Amino acid sequence: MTEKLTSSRQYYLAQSLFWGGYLLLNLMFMGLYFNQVSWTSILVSTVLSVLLFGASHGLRFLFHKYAKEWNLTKTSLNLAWLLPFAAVLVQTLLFVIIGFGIYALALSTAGLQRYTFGTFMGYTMNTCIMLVLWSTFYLLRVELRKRRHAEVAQLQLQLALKDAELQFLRGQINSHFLFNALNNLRSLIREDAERARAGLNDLAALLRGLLQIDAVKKVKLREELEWVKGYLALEALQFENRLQTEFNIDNQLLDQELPPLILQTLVENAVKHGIAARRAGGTIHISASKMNARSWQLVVTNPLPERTSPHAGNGIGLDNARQRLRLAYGERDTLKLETGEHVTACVELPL
Amino acid sequence: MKTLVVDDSRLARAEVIELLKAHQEIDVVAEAADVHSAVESIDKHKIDLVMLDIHLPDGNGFDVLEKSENTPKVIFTTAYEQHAIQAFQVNALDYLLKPVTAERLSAALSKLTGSAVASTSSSIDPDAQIFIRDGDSCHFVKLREIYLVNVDGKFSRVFFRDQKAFLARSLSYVESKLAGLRFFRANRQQIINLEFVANVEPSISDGLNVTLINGVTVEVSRRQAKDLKDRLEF
Repeated sequence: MTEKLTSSRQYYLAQSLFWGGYLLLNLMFMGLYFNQVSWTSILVSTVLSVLLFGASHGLRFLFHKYAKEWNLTKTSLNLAWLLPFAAVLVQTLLFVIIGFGIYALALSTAGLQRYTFGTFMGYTMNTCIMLVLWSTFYLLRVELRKRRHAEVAQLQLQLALKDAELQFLRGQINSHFLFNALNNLRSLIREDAERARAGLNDLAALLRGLLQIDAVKKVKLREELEWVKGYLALEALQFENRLQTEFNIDNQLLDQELPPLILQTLVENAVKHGIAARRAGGTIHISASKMNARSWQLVVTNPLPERTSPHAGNGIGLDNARQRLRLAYGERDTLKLETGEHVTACVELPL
Repeated sequence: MKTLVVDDSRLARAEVIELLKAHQEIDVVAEAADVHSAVESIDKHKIDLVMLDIHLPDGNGFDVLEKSENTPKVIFTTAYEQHAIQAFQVNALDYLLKPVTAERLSAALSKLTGSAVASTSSSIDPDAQIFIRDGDSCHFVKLREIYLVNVDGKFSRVFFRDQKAFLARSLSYVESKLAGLRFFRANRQQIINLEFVANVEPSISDGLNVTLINGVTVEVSRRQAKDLKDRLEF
């Protein structure tokens, strides 16, 4: 808002300086040429500057309305007819206004050249050159500003990327999960050593995957499902009968790629709210299906928690997943969370 | 010591119970997997010690302490909860990080046993404590550390050591919990700890003015004045 305000103030200042300077220059030349500056020539120069101020303002208006997205060639081609047209308009208006002015104020016409079609064309040419000059300055300024904005946006994007990467790495190892898993495995060694050994393998695979993962590089759905299954096997030690899962995966999608740990984040979230926060536990549904020729979707459904958010730190995982999806696929928000009888998280991905 | 083990993971409970077997004085009488059954168990079995996990399906460990009538001794067990622990004014409290080691468990238990012996038979344990959660901070307060309880709306405000905390219980409830100890209902709004009385003087309104050792003065109503004299005489 303030930026807009200062930039419009800057614009009017530049306009005044440009056309004010033109006015002074005109008067100076007239003074040099005729050795005197008559009221008539002051009037003519002033009205001309005011008209040019208006005309350039009109050009700016047209530029903002139509030409913002045009490339330089298209803009130049349009200016090629628009500027002479504007110059003719300005000169015609000038002629009419001055004619009336001289008549009304009974000013002397001394020092004015005889007005012929030729002089009219000369003046128009002059005006046209001024407008070309003005347009060049204006477009140059617009271009410079655009570049600066792009630079700032680029820097901001880089910053966001770094931040997301850091958050991603930090967030991957859910310490609560990790230590609970270790504790459960320790207990399981006494009860069923074979299962405990299998559990340790799951944990090792999960940790290896996490350490190798790149925040930006995509993985195949197949790999992602491996992690998710390993993770769920470990959570089953914690929740036992309370955690039931149902997979519904379209096998044709197994080689599709997606940013790493997106599904994992959704499932972790589902366990946290739909299982851990319910005495009775529940079932988590995980599905991957084609939507249309261009996209497919991952859907994770879990039952509602018993009470609202018993655990702190809600939504950090999902925000992180959203940010990574945005970095991978652009601005559009493809992760949707719906709460009804169940909580459904859905991610739309391109084929 | 009658002990309850609370954790929503069966394996985690089994592990703690197994470790507790090495300690003769500990008698695990019940297990619980959620707040609801933990609270029930504490009150039903008159539990002396709770091994308490912080994350539970229907709430957390603090809810258990807040909801149960009797506040047992507590050892928290948690997977990774540095910040939750920091929310405590860490006193009369121990916590163990999972996986729990036998050494750490022994250390935590040995801190408790000194006072535990006294608590078994008599009706009131001099080290009896209450758990108060006031906003973000949690306090374990020994009853003998309390010098004053004030009415605060429908509930109470407890003054202990150099602190005070809001307690979501009525003054009458607090009074009934303190019965048998050296506490005295001075007037309709206040309960004082007689151990803290430094000076007693007659007041203008025929009652008594009691000054506590930390300088706090409390007015005792005329009705209560005689009772107070009786209580203070040996």
